[in-house]
Amino acid sequence: MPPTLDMQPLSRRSRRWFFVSFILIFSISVPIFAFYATGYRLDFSTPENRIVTVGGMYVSADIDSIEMFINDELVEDMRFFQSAAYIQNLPAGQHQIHTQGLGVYTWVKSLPIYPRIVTTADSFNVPVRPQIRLVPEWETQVGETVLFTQATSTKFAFASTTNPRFFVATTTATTTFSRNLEYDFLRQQFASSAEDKASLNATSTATTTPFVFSTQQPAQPVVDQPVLPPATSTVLGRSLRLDLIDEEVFATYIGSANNAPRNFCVRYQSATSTIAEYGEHVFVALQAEFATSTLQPTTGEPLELCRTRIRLDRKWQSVQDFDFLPGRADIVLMHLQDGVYAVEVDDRGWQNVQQLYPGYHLEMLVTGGQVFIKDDDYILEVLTEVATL
Amino acid sequence: MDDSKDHLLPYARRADFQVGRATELTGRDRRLYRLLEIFPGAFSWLTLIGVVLASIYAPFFAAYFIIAFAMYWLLKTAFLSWHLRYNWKRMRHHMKVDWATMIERFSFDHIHHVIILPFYNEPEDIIRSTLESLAAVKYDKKSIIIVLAAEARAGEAAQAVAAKMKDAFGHQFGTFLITTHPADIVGEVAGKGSNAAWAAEEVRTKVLDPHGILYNHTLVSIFDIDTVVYPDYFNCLIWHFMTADRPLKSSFQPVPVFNNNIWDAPALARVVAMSSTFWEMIQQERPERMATFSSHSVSFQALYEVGYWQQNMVSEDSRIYWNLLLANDGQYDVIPLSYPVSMDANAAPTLWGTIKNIYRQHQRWTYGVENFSYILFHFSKNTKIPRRQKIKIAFQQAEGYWSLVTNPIMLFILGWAPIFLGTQEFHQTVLSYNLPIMVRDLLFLAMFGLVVSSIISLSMIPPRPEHRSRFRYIVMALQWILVPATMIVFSAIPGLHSQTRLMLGRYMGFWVTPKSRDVRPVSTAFNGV
Repeated sequence: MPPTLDMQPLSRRSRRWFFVSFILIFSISVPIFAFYATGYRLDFSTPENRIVTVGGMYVSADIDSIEMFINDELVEDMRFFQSAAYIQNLPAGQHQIHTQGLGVYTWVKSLPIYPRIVTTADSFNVPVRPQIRLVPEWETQVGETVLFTQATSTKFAFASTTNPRFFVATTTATTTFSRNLEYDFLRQQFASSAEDKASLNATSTATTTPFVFSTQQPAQPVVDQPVLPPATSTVLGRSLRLDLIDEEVFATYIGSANNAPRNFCVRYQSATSTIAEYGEHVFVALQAEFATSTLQPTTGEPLELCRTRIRLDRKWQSVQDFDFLPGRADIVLMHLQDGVYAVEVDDRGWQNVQQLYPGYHLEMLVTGGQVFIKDDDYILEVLTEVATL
Repeated sequence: MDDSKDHLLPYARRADFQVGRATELTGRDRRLYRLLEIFPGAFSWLTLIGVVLASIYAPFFAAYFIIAFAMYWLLKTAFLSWHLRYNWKRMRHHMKVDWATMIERFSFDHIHHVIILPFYNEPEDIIRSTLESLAAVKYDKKSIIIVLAAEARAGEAAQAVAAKMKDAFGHQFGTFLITTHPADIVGEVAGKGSNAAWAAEEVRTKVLDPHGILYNHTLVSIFDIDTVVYPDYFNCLIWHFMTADRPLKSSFQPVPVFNNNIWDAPALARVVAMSSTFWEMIQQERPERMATFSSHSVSFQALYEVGYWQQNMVSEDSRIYWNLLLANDGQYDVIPLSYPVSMDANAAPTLWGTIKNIYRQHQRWTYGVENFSYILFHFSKNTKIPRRQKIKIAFQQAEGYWSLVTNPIMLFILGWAPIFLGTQEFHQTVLSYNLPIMVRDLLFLAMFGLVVSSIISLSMIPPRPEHRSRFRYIVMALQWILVPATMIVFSAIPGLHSQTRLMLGRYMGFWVTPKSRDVRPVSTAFNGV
């Protein structure tokens, strides 16, 4: 018997068997994957095992250590490099999301979820205890902040400071200290902006209707909205413009209509559903921008309506100043009578307003990506995150 | 060269049988051939542009297509990994087989082996190690005719090296012939094909005919100059030749393992080299899709009947198979040997040099797309080839060239296009958010194929030289994470480059891969046993 090879090439039969099996797997799995990716799920919780459609929510956070909750349940799969979460498999309906962390305000939002649609929101959490860095007029040779009175340290007892060390001088003779150039620069900046502020304050006289949320039935549609008077002060962002008009600050989207930020858009089915899902103020805002014919109730898929303008909450106070929070196009710094606040440009449900720095008779300056406050004669940088020393 | 066509098979006597490009034809044939040259590149570009356009204007369709494509890729990876693993086992088995005993039952004393070694200006050490491995084979070396095929354009230096090699090794073989391919023969593309064809005719007129050696008793092995054969190669070849259904109508394909210099090559070069090896291993288990590649063996009779290798094109190693298939009216096979020959990984002294060389080598390899127009053109002419076979081959070739270029780009780049290019309406959907997650997960599962590759590659590297750290084993295991990048940079892009050149009629010339090696292994290179 001549020797033969023990191992033959793969037979055509086995290859064909595998090939056909793989075609079968492909044919079955692709439709399943496609339906799954679109948002269809098999609901095993019902006896009928019926197919349900789900939606999702994408929430970003600006702090890595933040915890996120959906309907009071912790979201586990936060993304690693970006503090954001894509929460899947949410049934249609209203869902409450909140983000919280140690030493920061809690951000809360109630948003509707629609089948096969992802609702997005950007959370923010500024420190409860203001985080400041005192910009001294004088410094020691080794860079220590020089204070000429012990009282200074008690003035800012409500805040946390990032200044490494203070040197309380026993004399006011400044020959032994060096002048802080940053202080001089900021002082100059504050002085030059003072004239602008004066004109701003001069125009904001009468207090207009305060910004409130209502749980009542909507008012009848307003047919003829009065044209808003021209803005008395304007701040321009990348795709948003902030206008002060009759004591109210409006964020206006100025980009392409096709790329409106999600927080400007709502899904409209009827007045009742819109008020229930987003609040009466949103419905009123829709009435202001869209024709009555557009706002007819629909029975089919909700109509997506994107407004161009959102009114910012000013807590019934007069606005001293406003600007974008550095690094965020969706958060506005509002200098109100009792302090500086971070206000989100998102009025779906309600607007989150978080106090950044309390105090009266302040001045605010945003420059070089930093927020500075002039409190009495002190200039401070206010940090938007809990400082780690 | 023998200008008579009497010895050629009937179909090979056609004037257009060895056509290299559309410009060599006239009239309707020229238009048809040109159209076929345009087709692969145009189809690839249309696919890629189509995915981009679909992502912009029909993102939902694009997203579903990408999910289906990722699933297809996963299954394809699994399917090919199964072939690879099986061939790995079979190759290991073949390395253990005592082939000398296996062929005892055959009478093969009348068989002569012509080994054609075309070279240009490769270093002397490379040629020496190739000849050393041939001198070490367990076979009657008196029946081996070595043909060291030099190029005249390489000048005196090449002649001197050839003479030196003949002095050193000439006495160990039956015949040692040095041939010199003249420079600048009109109508030729300077390269391996023209040199090999010249050498084959030289050996016919100077060795075979004078000694009365029959062409059907002569097996030609054409080896790249860096090919290191293993001791049982010719025994294995004889066994397959003797057991083949139609030995004179078959080519015999070993597995080119690019591992000679693997310890000195950078990770990029290693991954690319082993990937090429793995592809050939996979093909060994599905011979109906095989064409000859790089080093291989074939009977002289078969070569003579088609006029040897084409002299007017780049990818002569695969073209000779198509010449043989067409001339024999579809009755021609490639028989996989599942036995290795070791060759050099493409490595230059510098990393950048290596990257450039690999790119150019793969551009040359992927220029094999020129075979597509040749095959389809002659399918339209040769009515004796069964239609079913024509359709099958045409589809396999089209799919092969298309997937080579488009699949990596679609998977790793365009797979995300709907997310970046899609409409706002699409961006709000669960589908938009699930698409990257699903594609990522499917590709992650497909990475299992890389684990298989990693394990197999470690078993195919030569013993570690003393000057190399053991740590390099770990690097060699982990280097496979580079595959997504190498697939795009050294497969898809050079492939697209080649197809585009052919599409635009900017035909390529032959580029000789520079050889660079620090350590010269001989026949112990394969660590698989």
